[in-house]
Parts: sequence; C-alpha cells; structure tokens
Amino acid sequence: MNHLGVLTASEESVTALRALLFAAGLLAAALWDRARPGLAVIVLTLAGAASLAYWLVQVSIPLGLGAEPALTAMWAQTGINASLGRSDLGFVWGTEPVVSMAAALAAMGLPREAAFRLPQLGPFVALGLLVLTPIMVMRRRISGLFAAGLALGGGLWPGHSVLDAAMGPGFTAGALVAGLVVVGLSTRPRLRRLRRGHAFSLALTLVAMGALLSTHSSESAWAGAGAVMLAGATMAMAPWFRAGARDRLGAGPARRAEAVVLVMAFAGSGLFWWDPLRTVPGFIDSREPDVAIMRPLSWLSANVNRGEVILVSRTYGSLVAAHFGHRVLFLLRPGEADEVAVPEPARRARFNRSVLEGHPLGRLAEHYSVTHLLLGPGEAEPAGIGSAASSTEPTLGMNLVYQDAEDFRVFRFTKK
Amino acid sequence: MITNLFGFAIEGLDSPSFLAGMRGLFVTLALASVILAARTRDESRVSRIVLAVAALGHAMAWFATMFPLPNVYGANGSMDRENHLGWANMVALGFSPLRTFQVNHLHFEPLWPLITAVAAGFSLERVPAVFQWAPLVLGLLVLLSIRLVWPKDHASQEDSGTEGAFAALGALLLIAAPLDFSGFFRNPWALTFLLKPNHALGLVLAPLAALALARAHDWKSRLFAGFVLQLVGWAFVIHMALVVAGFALFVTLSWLTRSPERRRDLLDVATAVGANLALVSPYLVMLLVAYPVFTGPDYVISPFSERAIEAPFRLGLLLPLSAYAAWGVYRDGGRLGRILSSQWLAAQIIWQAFPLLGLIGEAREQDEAFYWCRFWTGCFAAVGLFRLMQSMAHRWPRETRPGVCLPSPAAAITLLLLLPSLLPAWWNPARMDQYFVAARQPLPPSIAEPMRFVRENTRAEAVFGGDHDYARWIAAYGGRRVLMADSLNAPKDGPHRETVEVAIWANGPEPLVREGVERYGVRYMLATSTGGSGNPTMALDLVQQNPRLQTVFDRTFPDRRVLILKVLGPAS
Repeated sequence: MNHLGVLTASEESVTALRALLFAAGLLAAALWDRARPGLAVIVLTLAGAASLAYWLVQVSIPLGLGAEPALTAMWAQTGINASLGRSDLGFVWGTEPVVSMAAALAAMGLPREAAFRLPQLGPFVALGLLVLTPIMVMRRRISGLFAAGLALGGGLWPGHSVLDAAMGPGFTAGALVAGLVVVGLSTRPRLRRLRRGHAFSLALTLVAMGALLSTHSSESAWAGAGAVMLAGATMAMAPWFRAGARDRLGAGPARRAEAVVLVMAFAGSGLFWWDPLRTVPGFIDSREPDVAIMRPLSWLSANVNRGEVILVSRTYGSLVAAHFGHRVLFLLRPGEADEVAVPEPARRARFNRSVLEGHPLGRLAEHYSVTHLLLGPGEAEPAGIGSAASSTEPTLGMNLVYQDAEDFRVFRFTKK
Repeated sequence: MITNLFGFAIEGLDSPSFLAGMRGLFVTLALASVILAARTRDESRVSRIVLAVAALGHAMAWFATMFPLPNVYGANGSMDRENHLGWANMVALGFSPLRTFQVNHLHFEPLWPLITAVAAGFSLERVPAVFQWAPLVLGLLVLLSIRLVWPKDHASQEDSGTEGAFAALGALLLIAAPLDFSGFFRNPWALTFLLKPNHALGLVLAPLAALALARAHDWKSRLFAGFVLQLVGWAFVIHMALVVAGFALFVTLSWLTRSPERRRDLLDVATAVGANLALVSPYLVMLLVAYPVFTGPDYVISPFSERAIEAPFRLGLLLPLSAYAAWGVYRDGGRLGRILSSQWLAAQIIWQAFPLLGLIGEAREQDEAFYWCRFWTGCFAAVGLFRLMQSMAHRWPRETRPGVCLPSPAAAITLLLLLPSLLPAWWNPARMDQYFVAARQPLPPSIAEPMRFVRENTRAEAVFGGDHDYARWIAAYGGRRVLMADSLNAPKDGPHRETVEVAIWANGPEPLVREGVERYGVRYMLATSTGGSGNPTMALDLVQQNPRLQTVFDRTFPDRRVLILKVLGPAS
C-alpha cells in the first residue's frame, strides 16, 4: 500500500474525515442562513467529493478482482477485450465472453486502466448528477439549490445512498444516459413549471417505489435505482418544504430552518457515513495489490505475444487475463473441474493430462494456442519434465524461463 | 438434516433471497396499510393500522433473523448471549436466580434468568426456544407500553391515539439507521431486542415508570411510582439510572421554567426515587459486593472520536423531528408530556457527556446510553413528523388529498414518508449482523460433542472446574455450573478458587481438594489443549495419570483436544 493508502486506512483518519464533513455541513448551513445558497451547495459538494476521494483512492486494483467471482470474471474479460480490441472471445479459451459495460467499453477502445477505474468514477458521477439535476430542472434557482443540498448526500432518509450501487461498473454509463435525459427534461417548460401539488404526489410515488426497490441488497442495480428514486423524492419535496416553512415562519426563520434541515440531512446521509470497507463487496481486497504476482505477469507481458494462451491455475488465471490481456486455459489438478464449459472436454482433459505428465502434446498445444505454463507458489511442477515421453504423438518440451523468490515459475513449451 | 429452533429444515435455504423477500413483503404490506389508512374515516382505526405496521415490522424483522438460524441467536459469536443462556439454564435446573453459573457467585441481573426459566417451564430443553421467542414478545410489549402510556395525558387532542401509535412505531423501528452496523455500537435494534431482550424489558417498564410518576399526587401514588421505578432497576439497573436522570431533568426544567407545579414535581420525584433506592438497595449492595464496579479509570474515550455525533446525527433529519416533537409534547402534553420530553432531553445530554467522562476514564456502558438515546429519538421522531404533517394538512394542495372526507391523511403520509427508514424495510442481517452470520453455522464439534456428553452423563448439580474460557459453553450448552469463567466478572474469592483448581490438577494438598469438592461442589475438571487460564500447567497426558482424576471423555478435534475428568475426591 502506498503512503496515501496507509494514511487513509487508519481509523483516526476516518474520524478526521467525518469531523471535516461535519464542519463543512455547519459551514454550509451558516452560508445558507446568510443567504449564500450557491456557496453553501458548493461547500457541501466539495466536502462530498473529498469524502469520496478519501475512500476511492484506497482502491488500487480493479474492485473485487480475485475476491468476488462475478467481478473477477468481468475484469478478466475487460483485460482481454482491451488487449485484443474485440469482444467476441472469452477470457478462458473456447468459452463465451462475459458481457459487461466495462468489457464492452474496453473492446471499443477504452484503455484497460481507465476501464478498471469505472467503479471509482461511478460515485463521483452520482454526486455530480444529484447536485446538477435539481439545479437544471427546477424553475426557481434557490429551490434547485436547496434540493441539490439535500439530495447530494442521498436524500432525506438517513443512511440511504446510491454509492454502493454506483461502484458497479455499469453505473457510470447508465448514469451518463440518465444525465442526458435530465438535460433533455430541463428544456421542457412544462416540467419546470410542475405544480406544487403534482410535485408532492410525484414525491410520494417515488418514496413508495424507492422504499420497495431499496429492499434489494445495497450494491445491486435495483437498490441503486431505489436510492435514486428517494433522492428524486427529496428533490420533488424540497420546494414544497420551502413554501411550507415560509408560510408558517416567514422568510428569515424559514431560511434558518432550511439551514438546519440541510446540515441534518447531510450529517445523516449515506454519503457522510459511507464505509465501503463494510458495504461494498470486494473493497477490502482491492486496497492492497498482490505485488508478488505482478512480477511474473510483467515478464509475461514483455515476452509473450498477446494472441498466445497461458496455461495457469484458477487462482491466477483471472489475474493474468485482467492485468496483461492474455487469454488463459486452466490447468486442472486431479479432483478439480472446469467452472466454465470448455468445448471438447475429453480433448481438453487429454491435453491437461499431458501437461501434468511433463510432455504437452504438440498438436493440442497448437490447437489451444498455449505456449506457456505459469505456476504459483506451492503449485507442483509437472512430474515428468526432462524424462522420456511415453506418448507416441509428438510432444513438446517444457523449459523454465522465469523463476522468482516467491516461487512463481514460467515454463515455455518448446519443440524437442 | 439441519433444523432451526422452530423445527423447520433450513438446509439449502437461500438466505439472501429469503431476507430480501422478507424486506420486500414488509414494504408491500406497509404500502397496503398506507392505502388503507388513507381511505379510512375512523380515527381509532388509523391508530390501529399504524400500530399494526409497527407490530408486523418488528415481527417480520425478528422472523427474518431467527428463521435461518440452527442455533440460538448470538451462539458462536456473542459471549454475552452465551452467558445469558448459561444463567437461564441454571435457574431452569432449579438453582437460585440470585447466583450466576459460577458456583456461589452473586448475580448482576437476576430477574431475566428467572423470567426465562419460568417461561421455559423450568425445562433446560426449552430455554433456547424461549430465547428465540423473547425478542418478539419484548418488542411487542414495548409497543403496547408506549401506546398505552402516550395518550394518557393527551386526552384533549383529537389524534392522541394515532400519535401514541406513531411514538410506539418510532421507538421500535426508528431506533436504528441502515449504516449503523458499520459503527462502533452497531445496530441498536439487534443489540437490544435480539441480543439482550432483558434490556428491552427495561424499555417496556421505563414508560410505565414515567406514567406512574405523572399520576403521583399523594404518598401512596408516589411510593407506587418508586415501586415501578425499582422494577426497571431489577430488569436493568442502567435503565433505572437513566430514567432517574430524566426525572432529575424534569424537576430542573420545572424550576427553571417556574412551573406552578414545581414543588409537587420535586416532592414526587424525590419520593419516588428515594423509595426506589430503598427498594432496590439490596440489589445495589449485591452490585457493589459482587462486582468490581469501581476498579479504576479504564473507560477512556479519545477526545478525537465520533462519539458526540454518532448517536444523534446518524439519524439525520429524524433528530430535528424528534426535537420538534419533544418541544411540542413538553409544551402541551401535560405532566406526562413534560416527563417524557425530559427523558428525551436527558438521553441527549447524557450521550453528549460521554466524551467528557471518557477524558477521566469513566465512560462506562456507552452502548446502553447510545441505545437509550436512540430509543427516545426514534420515539419522538415519528411523533414529530406526524405533528408536522398534521400542522401542514390544511395547506396541502387539493391534488394530494385522497378525498375531502378523510379524517387523517396526515397519518397515511407520515407512514409513507417513514417507510424507507423503518428497520424491516432495510434490515439485512447477513450483511449487518455478525451474530446472525455466526449463528448460521452449527456449533463447532469441539463444543457440541463434549457438551452433549456433559448433558447426558453428568448430574445437574455437578460443578466443573478447568478451562475458564470453555466454561461459558459448559453453562450455555452443557447446562452445568462452573468454578470460574473468563466471560464473567471474577468472584471475590477468585484467587482462592484458582488455588483450589491448581491443587486438583496437580494432586495437591488434601484440604484444598476437599474444599473444592465439598465447598464448591466440583465433580469434574475440563481441560483443553488451548492452554488458557484454568487449564493444567502440565501436559494433558500427564494429567490423566493423576490418581484423583478419572478420564471420562477424551476427544481430539481439529481445533482442540477436550478432556473431561471425574474428580475422585474425598466426597465423590
């Protein structure tokens, strides 16, 4: 972990962050009370962005890679698509590609590292949308700012926020589409002049739908949609609240009440108390990269052509595909089975067996485009390397071409 | 086949889908209730609908948590829970509720084990089932308690019944926020109702104590208020102290605001608290005698912590709503309203005092003060929103009114607006509750098998010496008392007990062994290969050569070897 990572990982720094956020909330409330609503919302937005940056800077490898099976497969596929510039090949030889927004964007030319950062981008995009939507859509600027101040943390309901779902790699693209819709809506005069009564009815409908969708696990897209609806309900209710407060209290006290509501909503928000270490699957494992595996992978990247397939155990296969864009074939030990269906299992098993015996069948190695075998620490070498092959078919030799202190080894298949 | 404590097979249960289904079902039913409430003309029916949502929500959250468990909630993960199970087992076996499962050790909270044992019909086998059902019952009792107490002084208000129902709903289901589980004190609902239903009993009795004080007007009724207050103390002494703090604030505010009733308030509170102290004094003596209450400044809070903002601000806007309600109830809620609002304010003040207490190392029982603060905040928050909706009802645009003849659209809209924050709408124990996750696993064989042996092959009055860490499992799952347990406070004669234990292990002086057998009733010694306190200092194989000990159980499990030896002492 780098120095920044060490700093952000300490418990005291979380306390410091929340103290900073609380101070920002108080400052924003004071600014609102002094009739500086724009500045108040800017302060809250900057504080929110700082909070997101604090957490997201800790992610140093693709979120969930090696920890969450679905995310691992997605990142492996993304690595392959980015490397090959196409999306029709699965990261495991002979399998169907894993479909995801990140993988699709990578195939379209988005650099691999940028695609890997999509989960970190999502929360920032969400924050931007929550701030800008009410300001753009609402007729009265001050109501739009008030709604933005309430919605940016997640809305009126404490602890709810879209942030967990926004870490999903498909969120950013979806949110950008939503952003375009918002821009379109903002030009519709009828929407901007939505009557207060209709807005309140809309808010109640959104609350009901938001509550229903939020029953899904917080990182799911459904829960994300629910959180967006609750934020939308917050926006719809903001003008109604302002009008009610002005009717009852008068302008000055109403502004004070709004300031209190702003700071309290912010201080109870999902953004304020967000702790992705506990709420985002795979976040903890993504904080510390496995440095040991990077060395052999760097060697592979420098010495192996992209179209070649690496034979590797399931433990390291996804990492090879994700980080260095080589398709893989899993080396199965006795008792292990393929998790994904590879065509012609009998042939595949025959090739696997020949490798474990130390004499890869040349014809099958060519068929699978396999040129190298990567073994990790503790993984036994094929038994018969160097001995005479019993097969009547032509076999390949296995030359050790890389070995390091961590006991990673790479064998190249060579013609005898 | 793995079954839960209700007898249903749970092997292969898709826990995430089950939990999501329960949340979805609750929200659906609550939305139906909102529609029902919006369409009703009968005010009392609205009140019943709100109360039904609260009861249903608590029951569904309880069911979602308990149904997938093959063990008692808290098993495998909570020392506190296993202590309670051990205590209840002892009373169920017929031992005194005034003693813990450490033989001859005075008890800190004797009421709950007694109640549990009575509910189990003094059957050891039924105690776990009682533990599973208790959170449901206690939650519903909290609802009833607040609902019954709340309207008493608000008879003049049209919506008092509905307001009381909202207060009950808030106290039970707004006590926690979705991200509480990531905080230091975790989820107050789970930690209070599921893990420590004995503490929830204090929440049942506290509003009744407030009601008794509000009604006090002569010596008899003042003494009665003191009697109710001491019941809170027997249920949970910390809640009694917190209620008394609220009463003290009630009197203080009464004098500060120059209330015409201030002298009466002072007299009533002084009498009730005095009577309570007199009644509860045996317990306080027990507390001082049996427990190291004042052991030094060990409870430090860093001045740089989130404590001050954690309890109130995690609830966001619910906090100002609760403040709005507390102010309103204090102003126009009569005497009971002033007492209840004082409890709210005292809870907030006490919580804010903790960082100061932490500076001098005396910030004890923070979690209980945290939950207490949340209880009153949730209670008043729901009332606050309901009052706000009522006050704005006449300003609502025509389009939002379901119909001009409806008596209480405010209740329907309040219910709807609260829905996303109600605990059963977001409660996901698989992610938010470590005790749920732990209890989903069966007991490790190294505990389950020896304890089965203990239950089937030893007499109920047998006392076990040996491994102090393992001791709580002997009480919780074996149903037997022990000489010493690390999970409890050490008895006053703790060092002497340890001497006796060492003597038994090492075939030491006859008088000490005799004392172990005759005074403490030690019949068995249990050793494990973990080597913790209470274990013999020599190798386990050597212990088996001790002529005073006879091996009756010896198994090696993946995580430890467990050895049970019968003491062949003078009186055995």
